[in-house]
Amino acid sequence: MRLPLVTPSAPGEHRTVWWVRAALGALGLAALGYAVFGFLANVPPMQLIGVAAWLAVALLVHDGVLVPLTTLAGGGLSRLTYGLGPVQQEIVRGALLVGAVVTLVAAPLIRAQQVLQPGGQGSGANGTVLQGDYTLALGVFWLVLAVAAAVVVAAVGLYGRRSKVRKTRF
Amino acid sequence: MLGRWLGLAFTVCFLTGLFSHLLQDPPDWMLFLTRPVWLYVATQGIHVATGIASVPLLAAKLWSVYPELLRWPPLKSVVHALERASIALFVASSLVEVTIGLLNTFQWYPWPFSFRDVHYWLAWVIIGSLALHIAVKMPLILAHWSRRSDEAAIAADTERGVPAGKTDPAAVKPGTGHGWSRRGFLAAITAGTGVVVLATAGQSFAWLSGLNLFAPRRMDSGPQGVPINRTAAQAGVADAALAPDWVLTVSSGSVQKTFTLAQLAALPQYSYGLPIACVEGWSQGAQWRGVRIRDLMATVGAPTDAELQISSMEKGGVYGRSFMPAAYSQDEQTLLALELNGEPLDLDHGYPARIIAPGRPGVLQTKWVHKVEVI
Repeated sequence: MRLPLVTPSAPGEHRTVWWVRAALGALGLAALGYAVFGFLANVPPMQLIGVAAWLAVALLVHDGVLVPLTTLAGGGLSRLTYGLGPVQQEIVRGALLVGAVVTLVAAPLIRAQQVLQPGGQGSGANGTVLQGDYTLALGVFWLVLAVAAAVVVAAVGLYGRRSKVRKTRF
Repeated sequence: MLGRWLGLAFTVCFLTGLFSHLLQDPPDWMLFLTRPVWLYVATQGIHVATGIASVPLLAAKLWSVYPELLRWPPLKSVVHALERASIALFVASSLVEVTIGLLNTFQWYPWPFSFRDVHYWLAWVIIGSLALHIAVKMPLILAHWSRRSDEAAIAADTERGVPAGKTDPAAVKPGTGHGWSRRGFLAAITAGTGVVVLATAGQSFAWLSGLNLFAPRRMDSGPQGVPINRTAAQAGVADAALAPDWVLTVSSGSVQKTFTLAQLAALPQYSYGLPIACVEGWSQGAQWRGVRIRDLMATVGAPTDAELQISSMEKGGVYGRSFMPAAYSQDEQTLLALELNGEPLDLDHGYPARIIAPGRPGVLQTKWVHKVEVI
């Protein structure tokens, strides 16, 4: 590992950094201690087990499933877009990333609608929450995104070809 | 870069969340502000918006440091082990916090613990871990900054500056097989963050409501054009609220009075445009009309700085009773509202009478009121 070296421009600055680090570290530890105390004092043991389980599963799902899958998808994408120029590849990649982010936020909405709406869990379902057609909205969003990305990729391609032509001419 | 944005989002989210918590669970020293009336609309809208913004920012930050997770050897020393454990706690807490916060705005609770407690205490874990993380990584952060200023200096001399490769996130380093450039990755994450915020913040801010595609709430929807959090059926108050013999009891010490709906309507009525803003982030401006709380309390000779307890016909839970500090009970715009947008309150909005005060969380705007007492 490359060591994170600071090049101290002046001894005074070095000391300031030390104090800021120490203060931040102490504050951080104090907040963590307060949180531990808060959890133990306010959350019943059975619920604490639930929290611990959620923390563990979140880490496993994110680091063990989501990141490897997106990394694989990114690698696959490089092969699919092999014929495109670097700028065009980046646009395709960027558009997919934006789409993925929006899907990540919209998918739980759609799932919540499926879980909560039919029959209305509990009496008197509330009609003012989860009232949109999120599946349609997500579909339209992806469509618009795909068209926009295709137009930009094509435009970049045309521009690139024209400037190449110009280069050969002059 | 990502770290700075995520740190900023987490800090703003923490502070606005803490403000909301203090309003609901106030310590003795709490300062209550009743102006601007949209104060809580802003703070809670920003809380939910920064929470949503941190979904892509967190994902991007974690992706960019993922190679660190696989670094060998996994543990070099006790200190290293402690640092890695604290990072694991930081990451896991952040993931869970953002997830349960988002699902809470859908009123979806698929977990075996209390949302309110866990969301609050995890926030302290995260802000503490963030401070600790910055303290540990400060040499790296400073090195990054001084390198940037070197770059700026070089860039001033030469035309193009130095290659940005030195400060790339670990995952974007050339040779790891990823097709991202640093600039492209950051641009895409910025765009994604912008889109999810703009497509959801319309539930909190009227000027963005036209872009509201992916928020659980829509403005101007629901009975009388105002969304609701808890229906009369959910609260189990419909019969009591619609009973013809409903009366409001007002008391201060040993003095007690009751008012029928007709008697309340005969008192001087005031009308104000006030937003209702929920802890879940949605808000809605509306025109409320009713009796000033301070006028009502004057009928039983309550002192002007009276602190009140408001009781709903809904029994128990967070909605059953609310506490009203003097800052609100004295305010001219704090009403026992009988009308909403020009009509008698809908049953789901708290018929026959509800509280509306400026700048308070919706959960404290007690509905189906039947008792107001000085405490």
